[in-house]
Amino acid sequence: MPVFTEKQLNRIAMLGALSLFLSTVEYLFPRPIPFMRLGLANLPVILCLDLISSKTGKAGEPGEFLPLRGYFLLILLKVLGQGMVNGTMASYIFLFSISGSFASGLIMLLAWRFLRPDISFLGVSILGALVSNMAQILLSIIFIFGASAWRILPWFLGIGLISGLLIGLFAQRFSKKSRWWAAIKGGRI
Amino acid sequence: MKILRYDVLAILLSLLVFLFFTWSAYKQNGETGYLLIESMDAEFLYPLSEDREIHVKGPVGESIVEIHNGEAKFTHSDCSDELCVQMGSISGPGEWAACLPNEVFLSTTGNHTEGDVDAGVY
Repeated sequence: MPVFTEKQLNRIAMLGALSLFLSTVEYLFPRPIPFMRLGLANLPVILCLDLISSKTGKAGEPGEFLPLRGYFLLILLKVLGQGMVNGTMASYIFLFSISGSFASGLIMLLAWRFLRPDISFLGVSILGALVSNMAQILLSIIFIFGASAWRILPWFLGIGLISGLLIGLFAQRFSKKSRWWAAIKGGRI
Repeated sequence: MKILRYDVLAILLSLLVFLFFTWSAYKQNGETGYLLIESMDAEFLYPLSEDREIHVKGPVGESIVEIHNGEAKFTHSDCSDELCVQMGSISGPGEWAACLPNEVFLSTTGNHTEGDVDAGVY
């Protein structure tokens, strides 16, 4: 039995490709610290949350737009994409990136699952940014820079809050207006 | 476009964490740090908050280091060129001054959270 249906695979591939594209866009912005990011590539991951939680209700579908493992596969694709675009795949930054992404992915998933009627893409995006930054700073304190890494934390958190806000608002708008998204939600793609 | 209850809560939480760490980083900056002196055969750690004069022995002779107003500097050294004296005062985290002939190295650090001073010698 295949792990994903063809439609599900296509969705993951599409979102993964979007994430890769956004990583490239993000690469244009200067970064004072190598693992400091705007988090644009997080957008597909946030959007993907909406796919795991909703049912298609169509006959012949396995019930869900995307199983949970599809969500984590997308996060893995996102991290790999960022690693390739930024050229950090074989460095310690990649480990920071992967742990930050999965930590924030997990929190976003939990928030989406348990706070659902009262939380939107906006809150989820901000929580994700917060957790990702905290995880990466914590790792850099433990493994590389030592206690003085606390000093850069305000920068991370400030930028994370602003970019998380903007990306969350964009995700809200995008999921309402996009015809592509409507097609996925309608089970056509 | 709606902003829901937990969205607001998430923003507030994030803002709170941001402000807390900004505040603590700011507070850390205000505290004076320590002066680490590494000489030929010993290391000394002095708080920058107390004014004092320290005589350090090296292979060439004696170097005199002065701590004044939270800044440290060489005031005299028995070396030939006294480049160390010309390096001026150091105070912030990561700043340093050295007298190479006399093998004395000064560096200032932020406040030590680990490896704090056990005792002061007067």
